[in-house]
Amino acid sequence: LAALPTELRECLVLRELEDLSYKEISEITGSPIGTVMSRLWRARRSLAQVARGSPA
Amino acid sequence: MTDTSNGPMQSHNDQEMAFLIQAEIDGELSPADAARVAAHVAASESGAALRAELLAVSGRIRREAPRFTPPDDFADRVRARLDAATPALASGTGHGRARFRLPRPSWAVGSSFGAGFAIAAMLLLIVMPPRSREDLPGSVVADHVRALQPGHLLDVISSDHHTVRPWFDGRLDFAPPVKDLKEIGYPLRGGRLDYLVGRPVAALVYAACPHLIDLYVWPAGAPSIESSGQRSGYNYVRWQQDGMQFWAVSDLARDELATFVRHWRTG
Repeated sequence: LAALPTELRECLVLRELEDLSYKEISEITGSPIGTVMSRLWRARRSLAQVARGSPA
Repeated sequence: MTDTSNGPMQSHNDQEMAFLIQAEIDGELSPADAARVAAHVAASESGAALRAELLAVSGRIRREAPRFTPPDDFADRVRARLDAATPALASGTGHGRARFRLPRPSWAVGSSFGAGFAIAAMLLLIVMPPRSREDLPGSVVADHVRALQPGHLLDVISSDHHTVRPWFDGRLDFAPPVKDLKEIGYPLRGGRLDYLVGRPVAALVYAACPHLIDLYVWPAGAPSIESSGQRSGYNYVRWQQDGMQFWAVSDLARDELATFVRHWRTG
């Protein structure tokens, strides 16, 4: 998590640890919902790649 | 479906479905769209693998990521500093309410993400906000129907309540009571994480051959009386017990579902 770019980590923490909806994350970060979805996707893929042992 | 991590080689349809799968596990889709995703996942090995991987990442973060619990006076201290720093906002004369934002570096949007953004924008048309509490029976029944789609019913498969209950640790901020009623004809099939009333909830699945019963559990809010009803041909019973809110939903007949609830409450 700490290695993720801040904007990706921010969305992921708000979603996974704070259980906020896309709309709520959008409001907090000031980003469009589409951007929230894209950042969540990139964050999760990065972590999945790390978990598989390949470079993120 | 191809690997969606490398933009240039994938089709827009693949990436759209990947975003849909992600939105589905985040509980952001309507029942109809969730059912469409479930059908795709059931028929696509790579789609199922992607969903499993996203769930694994989600579960691991929730189990292992450190959580910060602020001290009790944290909010007061922040407000005091905010008041001191921005008297106009604190006195209500500002044009908007104060909002905290984490510091973010400037971010140049790479061209490889352009298509992703466009697709995400299109997906906004089908990503739904959580339903209102006023339509809670409809939401709960819709979730039950969605869970009956292939691949949706169970995240943890076990008839042992000693296995099912710990599975929710780290995934929920409460410990749902889990009972096995096998001896009286309602064996526990497992459980799953769901999203209702704007929060994650536990869903316990019981068999009542040949029917299935979803028992949703989350911490009770305002006190409410026990009630029952029907939506779209499915019966539900809701009640509060030991500080928890329960909803039992099934295609069982009304009196049969009431019997299950009676056994569960006293079991």
